[in-house]
Amino acid sequence: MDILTTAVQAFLNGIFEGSVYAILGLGLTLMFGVMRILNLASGALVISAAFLSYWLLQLLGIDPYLSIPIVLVSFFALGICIAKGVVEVSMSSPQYQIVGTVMVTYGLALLIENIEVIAWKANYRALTPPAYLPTSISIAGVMINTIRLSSLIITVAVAVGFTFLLKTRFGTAMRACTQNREMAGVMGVNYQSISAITFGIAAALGGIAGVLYGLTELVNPYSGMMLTIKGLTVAVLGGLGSFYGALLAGFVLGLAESFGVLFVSAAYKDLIGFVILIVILLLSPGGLSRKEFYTPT
Amino acid sequence: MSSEKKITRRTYLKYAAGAVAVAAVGGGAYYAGLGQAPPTTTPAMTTSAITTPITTTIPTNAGLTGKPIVIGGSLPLSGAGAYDGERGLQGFKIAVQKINEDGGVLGRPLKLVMRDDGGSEDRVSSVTETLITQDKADFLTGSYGAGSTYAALVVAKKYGKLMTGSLVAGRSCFTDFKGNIVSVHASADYESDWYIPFTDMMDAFSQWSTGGAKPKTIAIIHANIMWNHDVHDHWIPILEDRGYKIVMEDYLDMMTTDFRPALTKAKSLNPDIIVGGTWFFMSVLTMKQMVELGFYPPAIFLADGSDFSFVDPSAGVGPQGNGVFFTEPYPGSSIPELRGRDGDYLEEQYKLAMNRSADYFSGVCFSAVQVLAQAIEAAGTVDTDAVRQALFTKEFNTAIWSRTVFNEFGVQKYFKPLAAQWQDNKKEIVWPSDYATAKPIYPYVPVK
Amino acid sequence: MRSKGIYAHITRRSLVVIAISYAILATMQFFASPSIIAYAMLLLMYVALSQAYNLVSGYVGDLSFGHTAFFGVGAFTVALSEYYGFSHFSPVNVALGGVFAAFLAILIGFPFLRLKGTYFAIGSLALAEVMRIAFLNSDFTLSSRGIYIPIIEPYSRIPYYSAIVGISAAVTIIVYLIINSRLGITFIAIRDDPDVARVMGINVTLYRILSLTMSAFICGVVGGWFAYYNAYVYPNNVFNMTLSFELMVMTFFGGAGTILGPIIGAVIVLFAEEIGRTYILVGYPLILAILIMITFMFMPGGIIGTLTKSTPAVNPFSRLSRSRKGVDLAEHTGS
Repeated sequence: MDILTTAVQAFLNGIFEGSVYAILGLGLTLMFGVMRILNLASGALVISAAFLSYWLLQLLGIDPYLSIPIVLVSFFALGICIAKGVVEVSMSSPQYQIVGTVMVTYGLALLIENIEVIAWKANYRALTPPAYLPTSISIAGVMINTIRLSSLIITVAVAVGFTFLLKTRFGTAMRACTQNREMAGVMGVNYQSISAITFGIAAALGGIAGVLYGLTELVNPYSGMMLTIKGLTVAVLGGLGSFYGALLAGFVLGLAESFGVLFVSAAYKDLIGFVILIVILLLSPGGLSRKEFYTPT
Repeated sequence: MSSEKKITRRTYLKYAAGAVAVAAVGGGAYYAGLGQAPPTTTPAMTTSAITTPITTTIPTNAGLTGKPIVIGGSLPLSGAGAYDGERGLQGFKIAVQKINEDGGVLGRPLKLVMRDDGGSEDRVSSVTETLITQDKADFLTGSYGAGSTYAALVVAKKYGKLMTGSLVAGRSCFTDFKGNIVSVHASADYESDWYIPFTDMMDAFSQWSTGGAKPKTIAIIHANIMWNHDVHDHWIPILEDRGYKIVMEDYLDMMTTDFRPALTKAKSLNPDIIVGGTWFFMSVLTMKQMVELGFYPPAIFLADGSDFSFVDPSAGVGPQGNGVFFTEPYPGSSIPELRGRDGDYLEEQYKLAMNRSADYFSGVCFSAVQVLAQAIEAAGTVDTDAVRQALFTKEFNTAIWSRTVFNEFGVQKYFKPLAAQWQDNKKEIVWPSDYATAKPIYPYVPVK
Repeated sequence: MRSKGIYAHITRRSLVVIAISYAILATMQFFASPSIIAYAMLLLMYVALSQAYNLVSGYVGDLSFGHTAFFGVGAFTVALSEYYGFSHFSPVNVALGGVFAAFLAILIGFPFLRLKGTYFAIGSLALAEVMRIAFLNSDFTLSSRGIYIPIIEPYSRIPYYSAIVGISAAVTIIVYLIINSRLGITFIAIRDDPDVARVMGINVTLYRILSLTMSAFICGVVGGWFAYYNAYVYPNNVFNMTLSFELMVMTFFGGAGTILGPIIGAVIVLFAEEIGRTYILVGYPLILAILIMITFMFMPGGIIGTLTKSTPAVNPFSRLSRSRKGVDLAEHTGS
């Protein structure tokens, strides 16, 4: 394989992997922006979505792509339930808001992870790709995996969808909450409902990421934490609360990992993301988007 | 809004509804998990994890008297190695079952205590400590891999316990803990054990390739674990000695699921041979992603590609797995005639429990217990020094190898692991020729 | 300077409880079974670590996800000096571990403590992971082989047990002294309202670095002890992210910002894990998970926090949730 083909292949690998990272980060950044919470259970929710899709396929024979709408709806509902039932309660005591939500979401992550392990054991599982898709399309020696291509397409669709969403009344309300909660309240925004719905949306996004992740790689109940960390990296890199920042950061991370491995060594694949994160944090504490969502202390 | 939470009836109702919903979903999911016969990658377990006791003990034969001899060990029953852990657990259980059926050891029943170490070395340390202090293990066995075994040995040394390792070939264990460890599948002939048969075979590849070209370049993608560092130290010099060029050697994090960047790099270097696949799931993923990237070097060695589900389309790699070379540390799993003592019993019982043929990990675990039992019998006592003496001097007969004899370091003098290849969805031993059931197919040809 | 009025009775009572516990523990080595001793050692290790973590995240309010970095530095200092033959079985190694960990804290303190709450948390996590991966791939630190520190035969755990009892007691006393001193008041002031603290002339960043350094030193020393006790050190066990989270859980569960809190937290969390391991083979953290969720949904102050109803005058951690306008958002939750 010559240099150009390798470079293009590495670029594509990065973009594809980055698209999943982007969705992961988007959910987290949304939740932080509107609710000011770090959701440590996001990875666990993503993995649960992968498992839901897996069991739909195994028991009912539902095609993974068809399961996406099911996952979307059920995780949206689940997200709202979690927000209302769990997160809201821990947020109601102002002096312990951040700690309370971090701990509750961590507890939730542990809970989800261990229930899954008890029910389904810790083996790795994968979603069988649908038979009607050829594994890869070859263009001039560059292999494009159809599923990963679909994950890129889906991510782009999500981004486009978001742009429209942000222009709606709801979207505006969401943005208002991100910028200044109490002013938004004064203007008639029902903060509680916006929060809950945002959580639902974030969970639904995580659901999509889960299905895509299950299709392209193996999942087991313990993979959740690693995904949460990756998501956090992307969200912080893009600037917590910045929607487009997270999208950008996801792709940046994917590309950095892909080319980093190519030029250095596969051993440092995870290191690259963290190093970039640290560098960006030190240079520009608001992340890539340079928007500051809090006042400095 | 006030900062006081008012617990109202509505709140209670909300919580009750939520709890019911969670329970319903959870229960449904749980039964989905239990009732459904999972694909071949996940063998059915007959007991649920919640009620499983912390130790797995075999009902002792009513005819045996005396205090049970306790063999303790740890296995990765959760986490990434869970798939392998389950296979090993069956191997251990069946061995203890057979030995107790046959009259126990010195007339006493054998008791097995297995604990989960999650595949992580720090858990291994604490679990081994528990096995010795709480479960009162007389001898140790397990675990999965050199790293875990090393961690267990550190603790074993503290208490002066002997260990019959089930899956350990990394040299560090034998040199640092000489006299405390034997391994049923590590071979004295081969410094890096699993890979040497491949090297001899690789040297002979030229006779099968068109034009007689000898493979020259090798790309290695291995997991960053102790064993692979031993491989690096011992095997690579041998390869370079024989004229091979290592064009790439990348260590991957153990938990990586995305090999594509590393594989893209390897593909760009055009190697003749690729070596990788430290654990089963890594072998599966590596091959799947190689297929995705259209990367088919003339020879593909995936160390742990020996499981039957490797080529199963729904569970593993599918037909593209045919042509992949792997190590077969338990020759008896492919060639019944090569099974040592009670190998047939293992096969039969394993099939009953797991619905598939016994594979290498169950074989090594089975043999580890056999060795211990036979050594205790030979020593006539459970005194550690006497058993140690017996272990390193006597000859044993295990399922893995009928003539099991250990040298001073605890590796087998007469056992050789064999190189195997998937051909037509079947495992064939291809090297060395005295045991081969088929000729190696070289170069690799992707299935269209 | 005397301790603040509202807290004085709490801390003095706690100290009595703690003193009695340590007395019991110290004598336990003579009559308890090996597995109880092993459990106690683990408990004491976590108690010491949690107290250290409490200094940074409870009293100063810098939520940290990366404390395992300090623990790991301490462990590796000992392991490497043993491996490369600088000294053998010497407490100097352990102290040196603490020193190197403190250096690390000072080194990263200046750049990292400029970061705001949540960013600091993620940054600390990233740092700990960077160290883990770096150590995992460096031949100097023996990468993933790990370093084995050959034990002195015959093996007895008494020296290690006495050491950790001593270390843990010392840590608790030190933390108590710090908290009841002017330094402690400064820390709490910084947590409650850094802007006011700045106005009053306190160099906020310096004090934050100071607390991080002290915390790091303690973690490093405990890490050094662990290296000797465990006899086997390698990156995935000493630079372990789960350890960071466990410390967080223990400290906040028990009640951050109190003396007794981390101790109670460590006791209960370890106990919950043991119960889990006894009744549920795989998936044992389930009990802990349920415990965490229930506690933090209804008792966000942690156990001690809620029991003593210690409500500091101003919201701790409030700066983590301030909006752009600098208004305290937390007081205006909801519509």
